[in-house]
Amino acid sequence: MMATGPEDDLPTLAARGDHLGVLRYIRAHKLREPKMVVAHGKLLLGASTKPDGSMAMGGGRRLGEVERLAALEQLCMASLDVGEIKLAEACLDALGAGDPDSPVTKESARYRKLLGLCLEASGDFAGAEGVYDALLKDNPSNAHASKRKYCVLAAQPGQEEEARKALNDYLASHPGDVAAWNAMAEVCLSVSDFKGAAYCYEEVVLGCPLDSTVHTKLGEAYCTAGGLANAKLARKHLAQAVQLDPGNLRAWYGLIAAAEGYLDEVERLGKGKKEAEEEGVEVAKELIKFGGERLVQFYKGSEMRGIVEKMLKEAGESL
Amino acid sequence: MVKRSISLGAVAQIKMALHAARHGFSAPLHGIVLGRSSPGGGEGSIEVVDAVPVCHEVPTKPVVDMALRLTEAHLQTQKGMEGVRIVGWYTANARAASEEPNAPACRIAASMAEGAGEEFILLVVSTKALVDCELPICTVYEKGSSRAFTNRVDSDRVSSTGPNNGGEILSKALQQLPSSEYESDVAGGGKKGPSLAICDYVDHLEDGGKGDWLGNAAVKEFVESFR
Repeated sequence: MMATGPEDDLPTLAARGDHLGVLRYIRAHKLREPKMVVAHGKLLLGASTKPDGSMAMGGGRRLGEVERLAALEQLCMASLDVGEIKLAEACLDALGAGDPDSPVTKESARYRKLLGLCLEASGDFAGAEGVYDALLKDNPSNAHASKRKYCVLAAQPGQEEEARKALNDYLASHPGDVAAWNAMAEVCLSVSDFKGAAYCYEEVVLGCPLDSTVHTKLGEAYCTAGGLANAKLARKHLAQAVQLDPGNLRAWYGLIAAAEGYLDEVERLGKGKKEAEEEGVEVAKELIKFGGERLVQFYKGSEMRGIVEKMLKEAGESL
Repeated sequence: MVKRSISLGAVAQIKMALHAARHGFSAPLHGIVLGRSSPGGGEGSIEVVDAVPVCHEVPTKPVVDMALRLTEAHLQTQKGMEGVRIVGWYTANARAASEEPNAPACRIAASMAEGAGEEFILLVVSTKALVDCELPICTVYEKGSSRAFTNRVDSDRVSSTGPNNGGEILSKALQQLPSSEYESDVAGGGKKGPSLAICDYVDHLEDGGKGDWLGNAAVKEFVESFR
């Protein structure tokens, strides 16, 4: 096995056939490349198909125990990701084989976590739920088990309400889990609850205040929810998004859309309230012009430039 | 109600299929359907000639609004697209087993149809048809009496146009979809085969404005190479 230097990137390691290096790189950089992990992991760990159709892990003995277990765990997760259930089960069997040298037992939380995932992937949701309930009984603050209970419900058709309730319950006890708030935002979007999605994205922004993508999603949710107050909030967050990342093309388009949405809302107001928004109207018009200029500049030398100019010209004529 | 016939072009279907195959991992897909409609003797017809992939997430107003406006501006600048306009919206559900159109797609289609009149359709990409590589890959919905897109169009009114071996072309196209930027042939020492990319509006925004989401010319050339 060759040592991995700082200049070794994933394609180099793969081309060299350094299977262990590939798995380590993917683990270290937290990449989601399940097909690569499966391809290299099978070769590293000697996966083979038995006459009855099941799979077994025959290799990897020359690796240290810690490396072998880490590779088996990684291969198990990647197999589930690409739907190779038999391979995942073979990894699980190898992990729980009960070797005298192995620190892994079938009672360990980490093993049971993988067992739960395998049961979910094979469609045994009741079995998976049983595993997660047992994990929560041992440790009520086991966040992974709580989250998987939500996932078990979300995977089953007709359980959307129960899934949303499970995720809500999880967020009530883990309000700092930004990823869970993001998942709840997506659930809200899927049922067209844009106000709810905006609420969730506000929580995500608390956790990632300098992330331009999050401000963009929040701005878009407010813009879609509609109403004058939401239109102003949309404009604010999309402006923040472009300030944080001037290369965020989605935010520039969103800013123009939000400003136009604000102008449409103002048009619907009575005379008195419209006068109170005069300054806001001027700001919105300037934002549309500014955003348009930036977009045209962005597409310099590209075919899209002419299309964007045409689109902005038509928008300008309608203002 | 007018019983119009609907023909789905191969290029449009293959773009929708590639979009679903590339991004369909637990995410809904949405896109614009382009075509021509003709009144034709009281029954009328809609000919779907192309598709413009928009997003692989629940669509928001800014994304839909801008995608539609850019598509309309694009149609006005393209030669050979005379008479082609936006005639529908397509979607694919996040859950493979679900064949009914999802709520956001129905809402978008209903809103767009207000301006487009009766000649507007909603297409739902069928996972089964995609797996079996059978054309047509979509079920077609039109407006019901409640103005919602819940009326499924009978399959005898829907046909596929284009090369006779449409299923074979679809299968070949799906095989050429790259699975990741790191894809490599482990046994072949890192060599990559030919690849066919599909880009939607959100991909275009995320890759700094590079992808050809409006045309996806590579897909059209691929289909044309089989004629």
